[in-house]
Amino acid sequence: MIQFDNLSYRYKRGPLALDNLNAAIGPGIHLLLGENGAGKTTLLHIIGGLRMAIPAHSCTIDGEATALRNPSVLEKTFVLTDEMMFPYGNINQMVRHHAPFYPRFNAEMLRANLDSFGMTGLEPIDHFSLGNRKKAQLAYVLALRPEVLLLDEPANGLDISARHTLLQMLARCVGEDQTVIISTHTVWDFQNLFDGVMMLRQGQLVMCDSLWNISSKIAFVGGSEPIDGAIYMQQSIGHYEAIVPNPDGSLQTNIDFVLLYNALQSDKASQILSIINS
Amino acid sequence: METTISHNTPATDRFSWKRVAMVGRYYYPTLRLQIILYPLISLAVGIATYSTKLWNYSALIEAFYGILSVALSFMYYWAPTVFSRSNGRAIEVMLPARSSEKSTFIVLYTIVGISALVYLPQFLCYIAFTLISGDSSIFSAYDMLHLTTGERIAAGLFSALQALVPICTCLLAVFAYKKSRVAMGILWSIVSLIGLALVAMIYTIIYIASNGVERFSNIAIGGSDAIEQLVHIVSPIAYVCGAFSLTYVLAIIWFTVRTIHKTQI
Amino acid sequence: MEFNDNKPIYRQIIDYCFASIMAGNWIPDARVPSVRELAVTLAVNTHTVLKAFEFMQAHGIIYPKRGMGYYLASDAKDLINVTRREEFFSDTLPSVFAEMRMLGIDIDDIVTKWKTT
Repeated sequence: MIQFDNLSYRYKRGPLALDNLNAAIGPGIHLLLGENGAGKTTLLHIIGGLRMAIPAHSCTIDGEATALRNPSVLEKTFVLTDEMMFPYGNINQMVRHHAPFYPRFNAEMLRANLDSFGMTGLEPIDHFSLGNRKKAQLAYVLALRPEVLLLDEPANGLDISARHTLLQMLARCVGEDQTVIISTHTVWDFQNLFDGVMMLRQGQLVMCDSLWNISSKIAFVGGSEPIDGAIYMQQSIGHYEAIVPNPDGSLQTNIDFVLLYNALQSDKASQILSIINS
Repeated sequence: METTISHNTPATDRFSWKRVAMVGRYYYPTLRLQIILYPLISLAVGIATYSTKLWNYSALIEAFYGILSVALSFMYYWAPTVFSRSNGRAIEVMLPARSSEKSTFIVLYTIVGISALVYLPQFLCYIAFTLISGDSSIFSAYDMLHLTTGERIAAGLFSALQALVPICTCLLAVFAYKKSRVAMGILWSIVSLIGLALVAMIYTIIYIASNGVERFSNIAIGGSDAIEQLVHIVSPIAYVCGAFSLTYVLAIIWFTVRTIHKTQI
Repeated sequence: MEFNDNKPIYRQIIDYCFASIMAGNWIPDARVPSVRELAVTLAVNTHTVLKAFEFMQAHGIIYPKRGMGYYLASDAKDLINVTRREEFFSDTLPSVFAEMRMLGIDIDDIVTKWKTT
């Protein structure tokens, strides 16, 4: 369980990156939305122990502050950022020299993952293109199986079939006790996998909720005519999409993340949020 | 098919030497080239230098090997830049070990490990060639001075302490900077050498100012005990530099440990 | 499996299960894939699969055996047809009627079409 208690973070001599976050995030696969510069990567860094939250206990995993960087909390969390490099030439070396620090590492899972991407673990990943390096990294970190796994733009650089492979890999590898937060702009890559969604807007956590709660309160509809009773509506060629209230939960629709994101960036955000949080 | 690695990490959050060893294992691929190459270079330089003294003495060759020896010193001073070789800064910071365990390995490797890698082969050459030639006087200036064992150890100690100044400075710079880590490591170690030279210079000036120039001019005239006299003037400077170096090195190590503890990406 | 945006995912999962049953991939009175197995196969989260299973259980198509998972009812195929017909009358037909009203189409036009095709 990840917990934020009045979590704020300021860059050195800089602006406030995160502003008073409060949330509890349980096991499951969560989507982290937010525009560029909204603070997503910084948040993932803090949960992963790469940046220190102040005060230390404003970000905890199972009650332990990540900022204290005790081995017992560090072995539970791992953040894979977009431009991250591994220290060695190939994955097999990671297994020998790095994996021993992570007690839940599963070598069979790693072999299966590498196999799905057509790799053996001997490939020189530091000479790879971004996409291929990403594949090797993802295969490895999923096999580390940390209780908290944070992925920053994991699909970035992956070709179409690799994205599909990654989707299946996530479904296969993520256990019921794991908390995975995926920050991505290409939500459609993984959209059926998500249990929860979080959204950062200018450093503030405007939403952190389960999809079940959201879809029981609002519905996402579309049509060729403007939709009555829409709280938020957008129009593309000959087609209208809207968010409408779902007062008795009878409307059962999928969540359109793009529509939700746009709505929460608009002035209708507070209206939608008050319905969701009611 | 590999079997799953079992849970063999120490189950405690307290300082653990087992984890220090695991940190060493983590760094090993990055350090491997240095661990193999440095002793070989040192051995080569040692053999070349000592064999020249023994069999092939010529001032020109001696000067050449003098330069090699200086090169070896700088190889020593800049050895900590090896830690910036790996790209995995994020992995390093996230590594599930106490920062004190990480620092312990890094500092011990730098002070004890690198020193052994560079100077142990030299020392072995010294022993070997002394045995071969049966006479150690041509190899070490210390032997010419008929110093006591205590004085020799002290001289060696102070010399080692002073050599630690640039290497520890390099180490701190490599871990303190996020960019240009190698360049900053090299730069700051040179700055520290200049600083050390300044300290010696300042002390010498103070010494001359307080004791007068006559002692120096007497030595310049010559005499059988001229060198012994020089040594007795130089040794207080050595003590001062030694003390300064010790304080500096301890402070730098403290800063290094703190820097490693507080690293943020 | 490719999911479309219009129908709720859990309903699409139900369709997938129905297709598996009608094709004979799931055998009556035998164990069906577990919630987690299906979630992994379809790359969806387990909660959605659970919803689909709850629906099918409510319609008697699958039944739980304690500690052993879900099993396919022996008359599953018939029940599916019943469920599908229910769905037709409760979901499909109303939207057809709504469109008919909007376009001004009469029920007799439909009867005529029905008789001639």
